[in-house]
Order: sequence, then C-alpha cells, then structure tokens
Amino acid sequence: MVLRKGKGKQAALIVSLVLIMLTIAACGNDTNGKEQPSGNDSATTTRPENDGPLAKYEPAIELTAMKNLYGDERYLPGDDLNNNVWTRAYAEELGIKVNYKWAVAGEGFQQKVTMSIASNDLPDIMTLPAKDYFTLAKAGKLADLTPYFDKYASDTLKSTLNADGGKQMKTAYVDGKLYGIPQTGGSDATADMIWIRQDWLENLNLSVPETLDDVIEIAMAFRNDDPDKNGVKDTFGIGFQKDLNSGTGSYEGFFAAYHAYGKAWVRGEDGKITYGALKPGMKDALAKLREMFAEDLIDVEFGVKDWKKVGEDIAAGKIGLFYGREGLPWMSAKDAIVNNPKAEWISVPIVSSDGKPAKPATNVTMERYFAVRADVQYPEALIKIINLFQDRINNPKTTMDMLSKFGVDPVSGINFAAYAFGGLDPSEDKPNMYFQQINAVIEGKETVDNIHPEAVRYYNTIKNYMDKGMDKGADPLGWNYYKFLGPESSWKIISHYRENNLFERSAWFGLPTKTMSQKGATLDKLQEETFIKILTGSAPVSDYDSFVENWKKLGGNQITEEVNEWYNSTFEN
Amino acid sequence: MLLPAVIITIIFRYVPIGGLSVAFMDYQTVFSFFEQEWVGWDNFTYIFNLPGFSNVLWNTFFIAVMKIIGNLIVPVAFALLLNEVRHRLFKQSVQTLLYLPHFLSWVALAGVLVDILSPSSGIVNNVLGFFGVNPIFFLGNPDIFPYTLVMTDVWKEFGWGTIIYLAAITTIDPTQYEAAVIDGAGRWKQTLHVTLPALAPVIILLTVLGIGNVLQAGFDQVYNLYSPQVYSTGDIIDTLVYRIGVVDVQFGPAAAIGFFKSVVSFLLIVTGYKLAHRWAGYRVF
Repeated sequence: MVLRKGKGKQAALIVSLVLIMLTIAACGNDTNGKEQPSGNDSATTTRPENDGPLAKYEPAIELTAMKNLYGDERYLPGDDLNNNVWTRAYAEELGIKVNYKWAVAGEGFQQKVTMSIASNDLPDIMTLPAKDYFTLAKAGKLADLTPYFDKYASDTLKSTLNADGGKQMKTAYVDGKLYGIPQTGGSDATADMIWIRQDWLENLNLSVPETLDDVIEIAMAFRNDDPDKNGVKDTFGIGFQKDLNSGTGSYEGFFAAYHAYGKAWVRGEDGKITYGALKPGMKDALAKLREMFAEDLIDVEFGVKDWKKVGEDIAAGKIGLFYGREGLPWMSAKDAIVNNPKAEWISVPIVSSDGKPAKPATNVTMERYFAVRADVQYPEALIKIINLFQDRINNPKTTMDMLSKFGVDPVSGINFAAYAFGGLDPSEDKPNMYFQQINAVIEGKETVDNIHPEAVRYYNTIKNYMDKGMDKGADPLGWNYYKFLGPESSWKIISHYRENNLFERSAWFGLPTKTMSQKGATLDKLQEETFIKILTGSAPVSDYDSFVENWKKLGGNQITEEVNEWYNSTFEN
Repeated sequence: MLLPAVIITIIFRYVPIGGLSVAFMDYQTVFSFFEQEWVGWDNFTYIFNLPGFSNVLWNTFFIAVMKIIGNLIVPVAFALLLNEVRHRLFKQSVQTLLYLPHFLSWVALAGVLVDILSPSSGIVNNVLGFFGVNPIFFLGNPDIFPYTLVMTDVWKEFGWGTIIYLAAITTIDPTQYEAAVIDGAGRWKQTLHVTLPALAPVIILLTVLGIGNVLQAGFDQVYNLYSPQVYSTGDIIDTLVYRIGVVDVQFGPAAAIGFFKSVVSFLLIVTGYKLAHRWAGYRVF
C-alpha cells in the first residue's frame, strides 16, 4: 500500500487499520481505496456501430474478472485460465480481453469474495454468491444493467433465462432494477422417484408399487423374504439417511405421499405460502415411518448415516428400495451393478397414501449472479460475454464441432465450458428436451439429423447399448445413459411428472429472509430432532403437535410472513 | 534483539484484541470496519436467548471437561507404563504408533468410526458381543454419545501427551531412583514417590493451560460425528455457531460468542493458576 506524503495521521490510521484487518480477515479500508484502473483503459474505444449482442469492440477493451472453479479443471498443453478457447473467443470475436485476477475452487471461493468486498478490490466483472450480489446491489456498487439488457441480450440468452417463465430471472431485480444475470438452472432434477431392484421384485413375485401400501409391502418382503436369495437376512426394507434433504434415501418423496414436505414451501390455491412440514399429512407420514422403523424395515443406524454411507449399502446390495433423484444411474445404483451385474434397477413415480396423486417437490437455489462493478465503462460487455456462451452451447443451431470445441472435447475429455465466464443453463432442464428427442428417434418418429447435437451423442450411446443386447457388464456407460435418458430412464419419470403436471415447485427460492438468518438454525434443529425422535420411537407422535406450535412461536410465523412478502414483491407486480 | 519479537507479539497478539469490537457491531462485509453500526449488547442478548442455548453450553462444558480429564490421566498412565519398558525399539515403535492417530483428520476418521462403531457390523460391538454385551449404539444413543466423543478424542490425542510426559520423565535425576532403591523401594514405590512428584509440575502446567479449553469441545470432531438424534447431548457452541453461520454469515454473533468464550477461559485460567499456586506451590511467573 502506498502512503501519501504529509498525511502522517492518516498513515498511522492506515497502519492500525491494516493490523486490525489482519485479525478479522474480513473488514475493509474503503476510505483509502486503491487507485486502480476502472477496467476499460483504452480511452479511444467507442461502442461499435451496429452495436448488438455479439458486436466487437475496436480496439479491444480489457476487463478484470474472478471465477469460481470446480477444482478438477484440466487444460490443453499451453493453455491456462487466462488463455483458453473461451478467452481467445472473447478477444477475437468480441474484442474483450478477460483477465482473471483470481479463481478459487470450493469453499475458498466465498472467503475470497468476502475478502475482495471487504478490501474494496472487486474486479470489473464478477461471479457473486447470491447474498453478496444483493448486498452489493443495495450498496450501489454494481452497474445497473436495466438499460442494456433488452438491447444486448441475445435471443438465445433470453430464451435460456425465460424457459421457466422468467421466475428465476425475476429474483435478480433489486428495487425494480437489474444488476446482474442469475446463473439459472433447472429444478426438475430435484424431484424424488422410487428406485427399486427389479431382480429382487422378480425373485419375490412382486409387482411395481402403485400405492404407499405397495411400497411398504415391498419393504417388508425385501427385509424378511431374502430378496437376493443368499440365504442370509442381510437386506434392509427401505433406505433412508440422516438429512431431511438428500438425493439418495430422501424423505421428500415419502412425505409427498401424505401431501406434506420436509423442506419445501408450498403455495396453496389461495395464494398463501406455507411450510411443507406443517401440512396436516406430516403427522401421519411420521407415524407411518415410525411404524416401519419399529417393524425393522429401516436400518437402525440410518440416523448416523449420510447419503454416502447409505450409498455404500446400496452399492453393496443391502438396499433395494429407496427414494432418490434422477442421478442414481451415475451414483450408487451404478456401483451396485458394477459389484453385481445381475442387479437390475428401475425407477418409478412416487406413490400416494390416498387417492389424491402424490406430487414430488422440486426446489431451485439461486446460488450465483453475474454482475459488473458500478464504475465500469461498458457494462454491456458482461452481457456480450454471456451471449457468446449461449451462442456456442445452448443455441439450437449449434453444431457438433462447436460443442467439441467449446464444450466437452471428445479427444481429451476436457470440459471447456467450465472455463467460460457466465456459463448458464436454461432454467428448465436440458435433459427434458434430450429425453423427448432421443426417444422420438428410437421410436422412429424423428431422425437424428433433426435433434440437438448433444442429444445425438447420448442417442448413439443408448442405441449402441440396446443393439448389443443391453449387456451391463460389458457396457456400463451404455447402461448409465439408458437408465438416465433412454426408454426406461429416470428422465422418463420426470417427463411423466411434467405431462401430468405433478410438480410441487417450492415457492420460495430467494435469499434467506431476515428472520430465517436469525432463527433458521434453531428451527432446523427443532425440526430434525423432533422428526428423528418420533421416527426412532424415542418420542411420542404427539410431539409433532408441540413441534408445530414451537416452530410457529420461535420465528416460523414471521418467516412465513417474510416468505409471502418476498413472493408477492418478486412475482406479483 | 528483543524488539522484533515484541513487535511481532504486539501485532499478532495484542492488536487483534481490537477485533473483539465486532461483537458489538451489526457487522456487514460491504462496509469498512469504521462504518459499521454499533449495536451494544444486542449480539449477546441474541445468543443467550437462542432457544436451547443453556443446553448447548452445558454440553460444551461437559464434553470439554471430560476430555481435559481423559487427556490428563491416560497419557500420564501410558507414559509411566512405557517408561518401564526396557526394550528400546519396542518402546519407540509403540510411542510412534500411539502418536499416529494425532495426524488423521476428523473428516477421514468419522467415516471409519461410523463403520467400526456400528451396532450391527462394527468390530467394536462384535468384540463386545463376544463377551455377551448387547450392541451399543455409540453414535446414535444420546446418553452414550458424549462419552464416545471423549473416548475417540482421547484415543486420537493421548500419544501426544504421552511423548511430553516421557520427555519429562527422562529429565529426572537417576540418583533419586538409586537413593529410593537403597531405601528399599520397589518399582511401584519408585513410581509413586519419585516419578510422579517429579512429573507434578508438568502435569499441573498442562492442566492449567488445558483449563483454558473448557469451552472448546472440538468442532471438527463433533461436527463430523453428530446427527440430529444426539443433538440433545452432542450439540456444542461451535456447531451451533456453525449452523447459524452457514444459514447466514453473521459476524457479530460469532464474534460475541468468541468474546464470551475468551472471557470464560481467561477467568478459568486465572483461577486454575491461583489454585496450582496454592496447592502445588507452582508458579509460571
């Protein structure tokens, strides 16, 4: 840090300030901010004539940036973060030279963001965690993109952002102004389905479950009737783990049988949003789980096992029935077939405890927003950079060559898309479209030439697997794709949910509200503790009623109010 | 020559004390340190009014105290036993083996512990079952969980203490043992009247220093081993703060808890020191 002459007092202040900074890692020196270039140092640059979504700056402008990494990035020889297929494309096609000031993977990312904010050392274009995005926007430190968005956002970007009707996009507005582009993503993939060992069903002459009673009957049989025919009682009835929210051994699908949810916020027909755990069915759901635990259908140790541990049981052939998400063909279900190629998995839609259809909950988390620092000369450059990603990857007219060059490289296996700045997926899951296209081709209703190049790639794998007699042992990758996007796949279940309008989309997905930040931890503890105690029989079912009372009293009522307020102010104006 | 050390100590040990003021602020990262809003005792009121805080405080205290006691007795006992071993190579390899778990992280150990402590398939319960003991759910039974924490922590850390005590034992003047032998003392009497009294200052020093940890129940360990089933006896201040922090980064309350823990630790260290002086005539200063 440079100290200016004749400012002794201030210098002393700065010194002590720096010392204090060393201690609390996250506080700043705004008052003595560094004089750094505002990013666009080429003062001669003007906006291009015929300016548009992908118009080039002449001469090129420079922008500093920051990035969150996945931690497993690999580069082609000679390439690095500041010199790769994307940065070259930004420079050549847009006239934007992107310089990453820093890039961090994992939890370090948030710390680094906090540090950058505290030391007032933000790059020109930023990937911001949601909380920091809103704080910075409110503090006036981000550029207002409202005047630029309509003009510069390409059609592909607009359709990517609007695939869910613009719901996720709307969360980016602060007091009616747009300060960033949300990293959108689909939520269908968070829906639960039931995963069952088909070979076990056949061994015991059972059929696919259609009601919750069927599920319980299967669980009983899986526990007691030796479904793997090894002569040992070593299988569990149904797999659960310790967390309310999980992709494997989930509770949400089970609760949904009673039209209640562990974590989702449900918007009723009257427009009021309530917490899923307070729904009247929850008490019966817990009582039923308690019954199942008492009948020894659930591993007595489920309460200390996380999803990875339960995954080990699934892989080891101890669990053949559980609620889980679409990714299982890539996870423990796959390990199970690798360990035992006779294992056969099917996924079926969740079932109901009464005549009313069960609706799986979905949720989306708005984790990150892409934004520009307030004093940057050409804020629209951010939108252009994001446009380029959409143009190369999500554009319906993109080609296989484009995808190989900018997406996953078939030769080295490197995913170049990970180096792009502001890479974002449509707010509806792409696999939905791929599933439709692939199966249309398989059924002969469509030709390969007419479907998205990425879908073609998956189609070829699936077709190859089917043509060669569906041999899991010889072609596990074929099995992965077959169970993921093929004719008997997890995305078929999701498409069933979609066609029948069965999703219960969690109505709240904003930043934690004020009371949530203060009381959330306490309320979560209360809920988890009460639920697990009821399940394991160490507390009576009637404890649920006092949980509801306490939850409301300890801040839940206020949180519900805030959630409704958030919803109404975000979507109802 | 002393100056650099003094300066470094001031910079890294005294200046940071200024950071305690965060405990009285509504700390927002976008603003600089001097632009923060002062909120008086609000953060403290907030923490102490968290439902179940007294329960969490008690858990922390109980687990930490048990650990201090366990980590005092077990290493002393092992040091005494190892000291009696004559075979040098055997002595040193045991010492190294005992020290090894100290280097394992709790994240890795937790995965192993869930397996070996499992009531159905874990090796510990298999061995106990051999002696006719019913399976014990070490990680899922709230009555047993704190002791599981203490036992696993002592197992992981006692090798370190053992080394310190062994080192202290080697400094004992051999002529004292010779004198004791001439007076007719056997091995046990030698241990009781020569080794232990000679170790007393080290034991007291480590205990006095350890008392400062009375509110440090070990975040890494508890976080990786606990589950909602054992919240009632296993949730500690640090895990509570972590959960508050994960939902929303709240620097103010976190600093307030840190402040509170420091004050308690300080009072206990002073008390412990005074007691050590009174009972054992031991002084550091």
